[in-house]
Amino acid sequence: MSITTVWQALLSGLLNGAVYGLLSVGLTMIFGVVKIVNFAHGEFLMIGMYVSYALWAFLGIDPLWSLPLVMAALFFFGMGIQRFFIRRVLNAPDLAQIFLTVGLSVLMINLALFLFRADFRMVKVPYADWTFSLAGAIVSVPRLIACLGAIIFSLLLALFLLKTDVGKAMRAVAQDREVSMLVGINPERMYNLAVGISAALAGAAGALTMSFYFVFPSVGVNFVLIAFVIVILGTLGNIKGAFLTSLIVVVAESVGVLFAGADLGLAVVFVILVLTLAFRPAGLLGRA
Amino acid sequence: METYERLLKKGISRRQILKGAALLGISAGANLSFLRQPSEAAAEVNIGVIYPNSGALARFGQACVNASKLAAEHINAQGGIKSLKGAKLNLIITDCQSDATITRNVTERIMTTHKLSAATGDYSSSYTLVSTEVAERYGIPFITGSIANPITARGFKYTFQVSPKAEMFGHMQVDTLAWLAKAGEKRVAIVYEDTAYGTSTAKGLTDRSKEKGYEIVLSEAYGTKFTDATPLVNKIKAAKPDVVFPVSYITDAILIIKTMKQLDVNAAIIGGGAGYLIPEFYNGLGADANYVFSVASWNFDINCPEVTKFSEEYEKKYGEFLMEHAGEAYVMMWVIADALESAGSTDPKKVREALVATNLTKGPGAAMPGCRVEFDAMGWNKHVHPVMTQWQKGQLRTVYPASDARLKPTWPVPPWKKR
Repeated sequence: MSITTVWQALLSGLLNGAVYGLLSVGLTMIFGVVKIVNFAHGEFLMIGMYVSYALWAFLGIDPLWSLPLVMAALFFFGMGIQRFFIRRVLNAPDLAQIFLTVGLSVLMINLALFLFRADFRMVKVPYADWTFSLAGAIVSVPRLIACLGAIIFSLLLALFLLKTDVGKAMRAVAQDREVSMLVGINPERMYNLAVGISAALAGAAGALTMSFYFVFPSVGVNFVLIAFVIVILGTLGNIKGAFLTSLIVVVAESVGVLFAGADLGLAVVFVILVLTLAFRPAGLLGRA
Repeated sequence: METYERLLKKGISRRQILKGAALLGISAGANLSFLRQPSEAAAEVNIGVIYPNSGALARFGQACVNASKLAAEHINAQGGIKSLKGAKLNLIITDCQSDATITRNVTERIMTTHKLSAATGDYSSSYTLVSTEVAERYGIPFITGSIANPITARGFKYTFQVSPKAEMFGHMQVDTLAWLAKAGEKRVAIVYEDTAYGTSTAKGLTDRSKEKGYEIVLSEAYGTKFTDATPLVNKIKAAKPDVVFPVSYITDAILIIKTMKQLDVNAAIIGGGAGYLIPEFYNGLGADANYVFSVASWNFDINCPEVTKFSEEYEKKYGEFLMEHAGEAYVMMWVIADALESAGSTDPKKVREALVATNLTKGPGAAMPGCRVEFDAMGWNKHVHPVMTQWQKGQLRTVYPASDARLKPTWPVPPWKKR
């Protein structure tokens, strides 16, 4: 086990971790603002991938250029899901909320199966095979671009939440819904925005992976399991926590594979989850 | 309308009439479908066809169904089953949705709601193990092209397997290396998907590698749902093998090869079938697919008469080459037709007896490597052997053994940077 091998594992973990980060911050934001667990989050990613694929297949647009379009489409789709579905169960018992988002997930997967069949589809981009060496480890250019894109969008989200009035209003609703109404904030509008933005980020995460992965109806499932581990570990509702934990978790899996075995990488992650929750029940970043 | 008003006056509401009409309609429909099921001397023979047409393995299942349908068309076109007065094959096709629990349900369903004379499926060994168990309970002869060792090791009377056994796959992969190796290649890495297919094949790989004195530098199971092969290939690279024996389905096969190129791992690749044998492998990898070897239970260019003819017809109709299990699905339909001919009956028990006595040496029903189909006491086709193929210039060609080879293999495999 040479140092280069471990460095390669570390590096590829970091690159992938950022993309999971983009997916996870959206998931945790929905919980923080709307106070609902979105089990259909993986399907936002899947839809983003199909839209990206379709734009490439029919119009020849590279997934990176069509990214703004994908994000816009998912933004309105997310708002629609919030306005027409999630809003109705916000005051209902938790079980009803779970049923709704799980049901939406199943519906979307099977709709995709019906419309697009089970085939695996890939996009062919000219830079798909480009690599370069970084201190002995090989970096795949499409994955690097995805990582950079994920970091940029996450930073933009942070700026939005910290510096803009709308962002601050959203954080206010997350902190205390009643009081934020007292200062003139419309929580409904904040919910719509939160789900819309999350969906757009998830769609972006999907579109960014189109240059090196496949799209098929249940692709969201492959990503979302780890995303859930990440948001719980990083404290539900905490965006900085979600992004940092993504890096930690994916690197842990990548390095874990080296020492524990390729089918035990996830086991390493779950062991970390269980241990962390045992000592810090509210997640790594403390207060829930 | 008169009757309607009269009924209304008698106090029966419109809703009740509609309900009654609906019930009548359903029962009439049900009765009619019952009438459609064939009795002994009827014009149709029902054959169950169970494959994954949705879910992770849909790609393979759909090709198998297409091949089965083509075979049935050909059989019916040349007069159907003559000993049954020209009865035509009627395929009862069902989707096991790439899920073992659903496989059990759908197999039970078609075996209880139709009078099947035989059944075939399920592509993936994990589902075939389930369907054959159901078929054994209902007494329906079941022919399969799946390969996991347990399929014919259970002493079942109604299970028949035309394909080689999984451990033979593993053996053939290693034997090919022994045949090809000229520079003392000794270090082998075995990576395999973690279900029945992968673990059975890996066992064959491990046993034979030890026999031949190869050094197993890595033996690793993995889950096929990974989104990045880098952790696995990173490990392969660290182990510095001369040859890698991967056993994979589709996305994992493509990702592994891609990542091996990216990380510049220059080991020869001798794959274990499935994902390494389909058009998508070449479509997804382009020129990077060349020089990859894979063992197969069947290929469209093996040295049996008729193979070229029906492979070309399939390609003309469906626009892609006839892949491994789809080719077997075609052959199996002819094996069933032959059994029906000898049995002269649609009774599954008689069809089973005919299958036990099957000894095909010509025609599409014998077109497995070895060109002969005859089942032993455990239901396995004892004359079959796997073949080794290699991707050359975008074409999958058989290179070993000599009896089936159409082309010489390219060896040694040029390193990635020199292609």
